[in-house]
Amino acid sequence: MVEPLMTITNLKKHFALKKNVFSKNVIVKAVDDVNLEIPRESIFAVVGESGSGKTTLGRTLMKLIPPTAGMVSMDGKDILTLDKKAFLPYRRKMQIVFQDPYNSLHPRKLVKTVIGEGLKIHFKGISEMEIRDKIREVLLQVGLREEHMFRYPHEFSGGQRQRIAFARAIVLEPEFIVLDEPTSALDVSVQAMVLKMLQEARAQNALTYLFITHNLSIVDYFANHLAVMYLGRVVETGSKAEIFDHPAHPYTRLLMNSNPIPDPFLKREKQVVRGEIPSPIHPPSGCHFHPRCPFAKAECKEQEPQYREISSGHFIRCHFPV
Amino acid sequence: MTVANEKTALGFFEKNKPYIDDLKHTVFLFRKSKLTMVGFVLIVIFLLVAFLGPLFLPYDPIAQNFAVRLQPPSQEHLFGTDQFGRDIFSRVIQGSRMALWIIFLVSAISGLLGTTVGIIAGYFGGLIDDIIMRITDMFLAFPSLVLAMAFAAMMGPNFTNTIIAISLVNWTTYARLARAEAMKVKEQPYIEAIRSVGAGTGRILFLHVLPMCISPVIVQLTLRMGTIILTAAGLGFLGLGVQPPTPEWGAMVSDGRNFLVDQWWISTFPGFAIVFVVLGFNLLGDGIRDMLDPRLRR
Repeated sequence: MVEPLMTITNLKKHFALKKNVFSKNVIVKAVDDVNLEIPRESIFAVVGESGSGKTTLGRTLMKLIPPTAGMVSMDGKDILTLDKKAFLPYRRKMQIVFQDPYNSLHPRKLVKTVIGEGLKIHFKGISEMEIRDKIREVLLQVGLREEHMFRYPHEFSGGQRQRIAFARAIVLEPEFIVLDEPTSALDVSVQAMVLKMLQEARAQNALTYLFITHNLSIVDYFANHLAVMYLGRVVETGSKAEIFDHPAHPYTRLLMNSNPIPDPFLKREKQVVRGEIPSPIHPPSGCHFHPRCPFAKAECKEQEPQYREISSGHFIRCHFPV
Repeated sequence: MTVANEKTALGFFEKNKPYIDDLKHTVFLFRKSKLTMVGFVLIVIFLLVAFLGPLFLPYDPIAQNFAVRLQPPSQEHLFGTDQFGRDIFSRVIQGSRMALWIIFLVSAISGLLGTTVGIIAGYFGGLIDDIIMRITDMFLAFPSLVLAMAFAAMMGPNFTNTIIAISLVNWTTYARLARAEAMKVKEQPYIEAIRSVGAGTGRILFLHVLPMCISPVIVQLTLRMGTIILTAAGLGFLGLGVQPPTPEWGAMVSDGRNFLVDQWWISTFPGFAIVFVVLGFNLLGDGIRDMLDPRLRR
């Protein structure tokens, strides 16, 4: 196997919820014991329902919020323990695009300033001319035009804003980009175009994506690796082909079954995920998924399943894989 | 490609076209609102009078002339004369300069202080926020005029201390406003985005949080300019502000209060001047608020 770009080891992010002075602090395990290897130049999708911790995972990786425990190594270096100054070069190498295109661009700044600011931070002494050349280059690359750099974000549509946000990320020539549901706020027709642009940009710049989404159709079209999260834990991970062909975790199967297929005549077994995702404040005992699992046995209720490899590169957290 | 040719040929106007268009739009919005224009005209008159008026005074505003004391408004003395025979018209005009100085200095000092302290409190939160906010609570626990009086009385009544006293009671308003805005802004994804780009705290605070906090502060500053004049006039009225014989509107109103029944003009004309300017600033402040709101802009 190729050397992974990023290795995540036992990463945890717990939030302490303070209800009032008399009650004990409640701990929410938003990201709990996550182990992943993100191969270089891959598109690694993280899927899960709302509240499964996928966004928190992305933000912790980006060091936007401090982790509770664990290690994230990039090029063999643990980036989470680096101090501000030592981390700065890695800041440039890893970028993030947020879900909400309407609030992720500063409303009072020209597109040129939004995109160019990172250049000023990371390349000291860069000239105004160089900055403009660079911005023009990335604007063209994300499918916008040069004159757009003199406009304000509110003059653009959602899809265009997301392109600007992406331009802000790639102008720094990163290696790794977290895409946090970059298309979920967009119209379906625009989604397809943005995804196509992302794909082309990845090939052109040798990028690695961590693609956070809840849309399995996009994963199928876009990704080549996949991790399924449930209540802060990764329940299954592996290559996309492997997981789409042989989903081993009951939760993955249910997710795939509930994903709409654009063919009204195609019959399939109806199997809907029962109930909603439980509250992460009081997660179920044993395997977190057992109350909703159609194959749950007594053991699932009591014992926490181990994270184990069932075939090469295919990991699962389940007592009784299907 | 033509792009390259254009780039080298860009003149000043073309290069700054987006900024100029934006400015044009601001002017357009400005002219659409009648009340704002009224306020604007009032303030322009006030500024003209304050800058140019003292150059064309009919009489010396502090020269006493007991031969003409307590004269009603007439051709020679447009606003009449006071108990020392000083020309009230000249004094009102000279007083506008004092008012302008007070407004300018107090707004600059309290606006800068308040905004800086406010965004620091709002952005960092926690203990820093608690400490700063308890201090503002202490200031807000007193009525502002009473507090200004206390400061002025403590430091001694003169021009500098009037400015300091009024600034000290005013900055809390801007601090609270800026704090509230900063708290709202720091949660926005665009702040997280600039953090992920690698910006340091200072850059985030002053280049990203500050511009978003500044418009309510500017509006409040314009609105409070009226109040500043009122506070200054109040201090002057009570004898704690600028000292006589320097013409100051509040002190002039105070001068006339013993003669109010028979010689109404002594207090009335400086009073009108205060109303004129306060009204102007209030109308202008409302207009600026509407203009600076990006959602109402386009």
